[in-house]
Amino acid sequence: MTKKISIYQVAYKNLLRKKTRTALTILGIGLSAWVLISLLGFNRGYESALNKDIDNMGFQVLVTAKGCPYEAATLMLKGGTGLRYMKESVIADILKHKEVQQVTPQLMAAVFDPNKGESGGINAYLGVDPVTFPAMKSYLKFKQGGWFTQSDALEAVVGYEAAELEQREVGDKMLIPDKNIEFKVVGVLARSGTADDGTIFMPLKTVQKIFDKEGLITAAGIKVDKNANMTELENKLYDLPDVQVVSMAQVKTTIMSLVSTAKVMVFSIALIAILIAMLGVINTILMSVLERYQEIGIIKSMGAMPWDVFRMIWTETVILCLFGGAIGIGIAFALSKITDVLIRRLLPYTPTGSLIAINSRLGLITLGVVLGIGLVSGIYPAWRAARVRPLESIRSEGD
Amino acid sequence: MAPENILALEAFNLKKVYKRGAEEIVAVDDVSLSVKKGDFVSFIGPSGSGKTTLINILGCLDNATSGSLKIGGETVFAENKSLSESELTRIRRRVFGYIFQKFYLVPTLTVLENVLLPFAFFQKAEATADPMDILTFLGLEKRVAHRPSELSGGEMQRVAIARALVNKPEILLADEPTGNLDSKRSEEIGGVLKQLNAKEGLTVLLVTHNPSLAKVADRTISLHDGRIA
Amino acid sequence: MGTRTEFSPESVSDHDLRRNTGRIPDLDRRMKKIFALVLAIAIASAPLFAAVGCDLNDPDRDVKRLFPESTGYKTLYVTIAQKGGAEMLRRVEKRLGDVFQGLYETIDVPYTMYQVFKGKELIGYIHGVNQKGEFGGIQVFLALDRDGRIRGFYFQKMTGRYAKLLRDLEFGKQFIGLNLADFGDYDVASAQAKPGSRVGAIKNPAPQAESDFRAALRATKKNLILCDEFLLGNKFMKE
Repeated sequence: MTKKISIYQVAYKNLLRKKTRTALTILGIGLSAWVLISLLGFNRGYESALNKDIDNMGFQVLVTAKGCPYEAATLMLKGGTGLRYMKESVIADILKHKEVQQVTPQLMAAVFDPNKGESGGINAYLGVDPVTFPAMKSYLKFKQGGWFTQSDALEAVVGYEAAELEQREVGDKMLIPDKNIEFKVVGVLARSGTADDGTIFMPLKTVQKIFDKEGLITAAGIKVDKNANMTELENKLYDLPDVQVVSMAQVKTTIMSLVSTAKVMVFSIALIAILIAMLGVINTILMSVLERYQEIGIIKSMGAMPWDVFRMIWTETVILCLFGGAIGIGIAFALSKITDVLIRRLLPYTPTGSLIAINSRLGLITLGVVLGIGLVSGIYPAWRAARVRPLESIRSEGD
Repeated sequence: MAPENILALEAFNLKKVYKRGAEEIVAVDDVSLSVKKGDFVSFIGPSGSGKTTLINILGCLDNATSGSLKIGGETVFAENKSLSESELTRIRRRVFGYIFQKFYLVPTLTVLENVLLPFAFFQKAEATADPMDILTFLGLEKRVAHRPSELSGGEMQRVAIARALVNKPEILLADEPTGNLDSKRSEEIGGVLKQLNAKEGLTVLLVTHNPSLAKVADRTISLHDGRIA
Repeated sequence: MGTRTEFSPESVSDHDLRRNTGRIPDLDRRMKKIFALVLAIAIASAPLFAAVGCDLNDPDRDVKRLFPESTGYKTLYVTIAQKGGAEMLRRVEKRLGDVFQGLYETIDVPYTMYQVFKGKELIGYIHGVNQKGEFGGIQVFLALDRDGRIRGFYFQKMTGRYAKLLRDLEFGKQFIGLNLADFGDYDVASAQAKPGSRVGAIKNPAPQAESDFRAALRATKKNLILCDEFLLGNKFMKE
């Protein structure tokens, strides 16, 4: 038999008096904790996945011909038309700028393939410079083979998805329909998680020759010196005739600022959810204090100081918040995979990689927040309890 | 501890006035009395006679409007001096144990835990009494693991008594302790109080409207309209 | 597959602010275009990558086309790795007379099998296999009746100069009525059929695409073997 009983034990047992009410309050806190940590995890996951995607572009600035649909998919949407060209000499002009570390020219070409899909489709080929392109996209690894052997060879390096679709391996042939030209696969890339997985790369000169676009390119990827002033460079590039400059860095900044606005909104929601749960806590504890007025009076008559009573009631709040927070965080961990799938269904653009990146640090932060708000909201009921005068609560007959 | 015949409690000209709206109600009107250590005093009177208000003041559960109170020779409060809740609590801890008409046991705690409850807040250095001894004395040794809901009225009041005694109070205050009990149980409680007074030398102040219970005490003080009759 | 996307710049061809003012064009408007583009890419790239497991392009339409009398179908996803592991692979290779090779013909390739129903009655199966062709991937789809006899044959996918000839319906008709027993003596490695056999009678309408023709026959035999293993309980297997 214990010879002593602590205030904390008493507080804990107090909560067991109305089990359903306690359980519901804990559930409310748990749900809001789950919302908070999922949002924190989403924020972390989305941001890091976004960064990875953007950084994987390889170049920070892209210069394209005015009006040129750069991406293969847009090409297909437009039916293979609409390509505009720049003179290859623009590369030399770009290199003149001191901020430029390296430039790589690209030529996009498209043909109609009657055998593709149900009723034909567009095949796109990206002509790249075998000298400068691999260096800029150094993260591209090969599953089989390697880059081109010559700068004008009839060879191709195929992204993993494109290769898998056509069952192509190193040594296999491919055909450019309409032009009726065969070429050989010399490399199959490993999965990169970017659009390069669906691209067929060929030497720039080869594509220029096949498609009669000698001396022309559709885009130039620019690697900028680390310390350079990006905006200044962009302004200078605009002076080049007939070009459009897109800065990946600017894209990233704009997206990040859009994301932060979204973040603020999202955290406001989380905060509201928590405040609502906390109101539930205050209500629960306050109700139980009012129900126990007489008992609190008796406890005071036993020698409990106001601070003792305050501590006891405060402890009840803390216990509710700890349990609720722990449950909410536990659910979040368990369901993070499912939440990930749900979000991918909902959002139009989802970067690759885990979207909800919850870790124990976020769990601790959430627990801290829940606990903190709980402590604050517990103050009022605890104070009310501490103020109780024994006499107010003990009423016997007569008087 | 105070030597024999030191006054456990001395009250001078205690007065308690309530304001109810515009009306002023004098609940206790100029009451003076003294209680020796080891006394067993009962307070009797009709409803509204002020006996509960008086005992609340004597037991430091409330302040008087005027008058003074000495406990164990020390002045607790004097003319126009009011004590704060914390100060009253300190005195209560040291001196008093209380039992009331409603037993006020904590339903989620066992008998033993209920008795130990005061120790969660305060434990006198000299209070080396084993709670089990007190419980055995009161005939509850077999019920220590039970919850209040499993006890009879008489047993519950005895638990309350044990709880009141666990910190070795100098004075036990009992305000209508048998109000919720039948006559048989009332007699039992009366017997317990008598034993505590006789064997342990505990000073007991008892408020009751039950004349036969009041007779258990050594001395009875009658109150009427706030005054000693 | 689907939502693999990236950021891509896009020109704002009819917008030439910078020319007049020397400032960088309105980013917000461009951003909206980029997001629209990104959305378009997500949608456009989906069909591009849907075929890898060799599903029907449009199951509702294709099942009805192959089995006009059907009322419904069920889709099963199986792999050799799951069903019988290395032992099963060896058995399949032995029956085929050729080993599984390359990056894309492995033990864990997912196969999609369709069970076709008329009311509650199972009336047949559909299954497609990927096969390496000379210039690209070939997908051979077979529609089988309950006993494993071919009642439909077509190429869902084929690239090459002469693909049109092979994809002609007349070519597929030559397979109707054949089953795995007929292919039992067909040697995939040398592409030799037993003289006088029904498989030997299949004509290649595009002699210049001989390797694709042989690939189609290999694909057909492999298709029938997989159906036998996964759907028919190996009823064609000789001891």
